[in-house]
Amino acid sequence: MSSPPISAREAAIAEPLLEVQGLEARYGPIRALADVSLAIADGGLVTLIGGNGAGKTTLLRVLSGLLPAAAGTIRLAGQDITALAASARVRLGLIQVPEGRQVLAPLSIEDNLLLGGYTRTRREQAEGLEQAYAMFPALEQRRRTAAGLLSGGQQQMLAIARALMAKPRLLLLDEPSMGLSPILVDEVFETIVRLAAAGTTVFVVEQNAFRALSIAEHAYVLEAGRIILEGAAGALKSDHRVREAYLGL
Amino acid sequence: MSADFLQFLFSGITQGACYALVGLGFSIIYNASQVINFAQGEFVMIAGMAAVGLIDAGAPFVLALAAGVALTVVVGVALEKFAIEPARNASVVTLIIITIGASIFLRGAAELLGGRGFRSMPAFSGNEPIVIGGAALLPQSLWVLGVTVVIIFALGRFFNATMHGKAMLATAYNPVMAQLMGINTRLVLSLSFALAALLGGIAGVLIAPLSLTYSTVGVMLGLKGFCAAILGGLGKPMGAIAGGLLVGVSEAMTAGYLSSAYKDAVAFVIILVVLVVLPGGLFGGRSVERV
Repeated sequence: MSSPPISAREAAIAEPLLEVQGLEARYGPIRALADVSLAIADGGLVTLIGGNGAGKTTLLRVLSGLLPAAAGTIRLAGQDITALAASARVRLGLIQVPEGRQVLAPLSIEDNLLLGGYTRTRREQAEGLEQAYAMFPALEQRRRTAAGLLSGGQQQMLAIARALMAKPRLLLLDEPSMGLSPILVDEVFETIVRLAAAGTTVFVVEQNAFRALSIAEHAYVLEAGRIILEGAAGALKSDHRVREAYLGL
Repeated sequence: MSADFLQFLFSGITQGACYALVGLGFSIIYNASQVINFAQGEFVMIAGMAAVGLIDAGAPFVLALAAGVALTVVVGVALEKFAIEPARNASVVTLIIITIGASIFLRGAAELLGGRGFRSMPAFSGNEPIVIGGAALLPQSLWVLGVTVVIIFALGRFFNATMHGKAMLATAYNPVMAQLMGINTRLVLSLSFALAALLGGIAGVLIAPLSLTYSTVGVMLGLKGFCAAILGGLGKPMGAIAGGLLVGVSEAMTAGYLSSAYKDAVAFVIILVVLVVLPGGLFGGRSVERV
């Protein structure tokens, strides 16, 4: 009998964009992550919540290649990227918006954006710039301004716009709500939902559990370096453990 | 303006331009790695020694200059590859000490290959001085100044208008973010050593006809270039240029009006005063950043 090529294709479709298995990370003798496994479907909007010091930022550092994995594997679209350098992962479309935004303060807004598209061709950079300005008109008005002079909210927008310049297949966001007023947090989360609706796969790491669970489809809870809960975001929002520990209810 | 003053100014600016080129090298490597490369002066020496050696061996003049500078760039990249790169996880202080070791090694190698003697290189276009206001300006000084100005503009363009230049700036401001933008920061480090060696090498062949060349010529030049970089605010290219000119002119004035015995002390006195009054250097200023 002919082996069904269709089921093979289905398997490929069902394969997650990012698959993490048994990941461990260490800072010297201290184990910061232990046996972390997660999967993010292509086109999904997934969140990981956890308190201060749970290992959220460490996880993103390992995913981006800033910190080597002590054990475990990371696969992006089926390819093992565990040993790849950070810059090589960016070329594959794994883009992170780091905690605290990290805009290059002395450089202009436009230079920040162009550097976001560093791995892209000149033409893609020009297109990306156009899209970024269409999405965030406030940035275009001040394109020659030093990025350090922007307000916190604008810097967050710039950080997201800069990440989009790299044409992410998977966008990692580390605490995008940090240090922002509630109105600005709304704006940032609306932007994230729009990006996901437009087809970008998004993984948001947040301390603001209520907001993160409200926009995500799937969620993980990280505590002391381990995934302790996982499920549909809506279900986790009503889970008593999550409500007690993270929602203050 | 007296002829004396003008004469001191000419020689000060010429010398200062060389300090500026060396100081730029310090700043470029510091920006990429926080390392102060104490082999920067040796770059100047290698280019001069190699070019003189080739000229004495009968090589065409221009070719000898180009080969001297090219060899310096090769040495710069090799220094990064074989001395800095293997120790990249070590502390910055360790890396700085490695560069001091490298500078001693390079001086020793130069003595073995080129001897201990003083050697002179013919000037690029003769020794017929141009007299301006009673002061004599050597054509070689014009070469030094002209090439330095061209280099400054080329560097400005490189850093402000090319992606490679901007990537180097990004790595200087925020190495972690640079990696997240896909910049290969190791390559940037290698490139910064190449660029610093190129600047040192060019300074080396420019100054050789004016100051003789010998295996330890880079020691003082390196220290003065370091003063220039610190004076302008380490890591600030414009600061290194201004610092270089300031050190060069102050030296020449001291040598002319006071005594040449104090000449070498001037740079270090200036640096002490500046660091006490303005710890960030003349161009250190306050940085603008909102968080």
